[in-house]
Amino acid sequence: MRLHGRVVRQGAPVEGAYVQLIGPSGEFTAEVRTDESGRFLFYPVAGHWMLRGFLPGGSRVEREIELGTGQTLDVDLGDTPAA
Amino acid sequence: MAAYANPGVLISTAEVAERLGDPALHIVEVDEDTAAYERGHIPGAVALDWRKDLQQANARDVVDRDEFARLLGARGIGEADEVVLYGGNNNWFAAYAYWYFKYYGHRRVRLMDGGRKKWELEGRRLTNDLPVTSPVSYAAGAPDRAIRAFRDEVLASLGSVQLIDVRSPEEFSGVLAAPAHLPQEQAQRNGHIPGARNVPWSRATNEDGTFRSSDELRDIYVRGAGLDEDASAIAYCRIGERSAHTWVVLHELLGMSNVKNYDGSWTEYGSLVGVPIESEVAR
Repeated sequence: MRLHGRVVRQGAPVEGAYVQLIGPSGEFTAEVRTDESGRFLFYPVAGHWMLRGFLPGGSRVEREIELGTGQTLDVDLGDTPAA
Repeated sequence: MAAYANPGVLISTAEVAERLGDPALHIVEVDEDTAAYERGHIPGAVALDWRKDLQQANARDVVDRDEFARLLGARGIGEADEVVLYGGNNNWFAAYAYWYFKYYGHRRVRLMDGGRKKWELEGRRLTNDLPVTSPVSYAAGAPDRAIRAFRDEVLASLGSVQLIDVRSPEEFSGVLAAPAHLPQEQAQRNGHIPGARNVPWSRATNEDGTFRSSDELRDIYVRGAGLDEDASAIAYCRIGERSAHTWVVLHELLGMSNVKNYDGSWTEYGSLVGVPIESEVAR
């Protein structure tokens, strides 16, 4: 299973954010740095996960994810584009 | 609040920033992602590649004493010099290098608390400029076997020495074979060494990658996980780098005198023929 994603700020990809994968018990399981396209990738098992992102400049974003067996998800983590 | 047993082990990002340009300070980056250094590094830092520099080419082992001496001498580092190590992934491989430096007797080695992540998120300066170094002679010490465990010792210790598996709960239970940010293709069995207790390395860190306080660490390892500080312990993970992080916690920050890192770890133990394992996953 794969959990792809992209960290965005005002809709734009953020390079150099740190994304943590937090397990159901709150356990910090893995962490990656986003690439030049703001992207990250995990290989978790099915279940309920929390993504927690730390952005350059100090802001922090979170999103809960439900990953089904055999599923590949592609999610955005961050704020919504400016209106 | 109690101090760390060896408070000089850690140096803050702020102090490193203040000392940039200090010729007496040798900054060394060691990363899981060996390309990270090329993307930008702390000014003046040299790199050690954990795959190419810190592993033998024709054996799965640390490099020998002479090679370690050559490696550091070529980077302008003498055996009495002050070295600060830092790296990505909350200092996994920097902690491994720290343990490695201690293995060959380097006394004045420190870890930059929070590692590369904290430095970057604080917006501190990175550069692509390569430092100019002049080779020096380095005299490495004899390997300190008191801080390294091998498989036969682990097998002989089952049931008598505290084994700490510092991988994630999913790897410990056998659901995953590797950390969740790495591909999972593995040949060996999943699970853990019988009798090991699971204390994921990440419990020792704050969100910014710095180590928790001495009191918090004692709460986690002694009161929480039931570790006897006066007894022997062996830490392991998958390839020995996360367990080096926990070795730093137990041996250096909490001051436990008899702690070893089993750097063969699960990729070795889980592939051995005829040894017992425990797994929570039905095959």
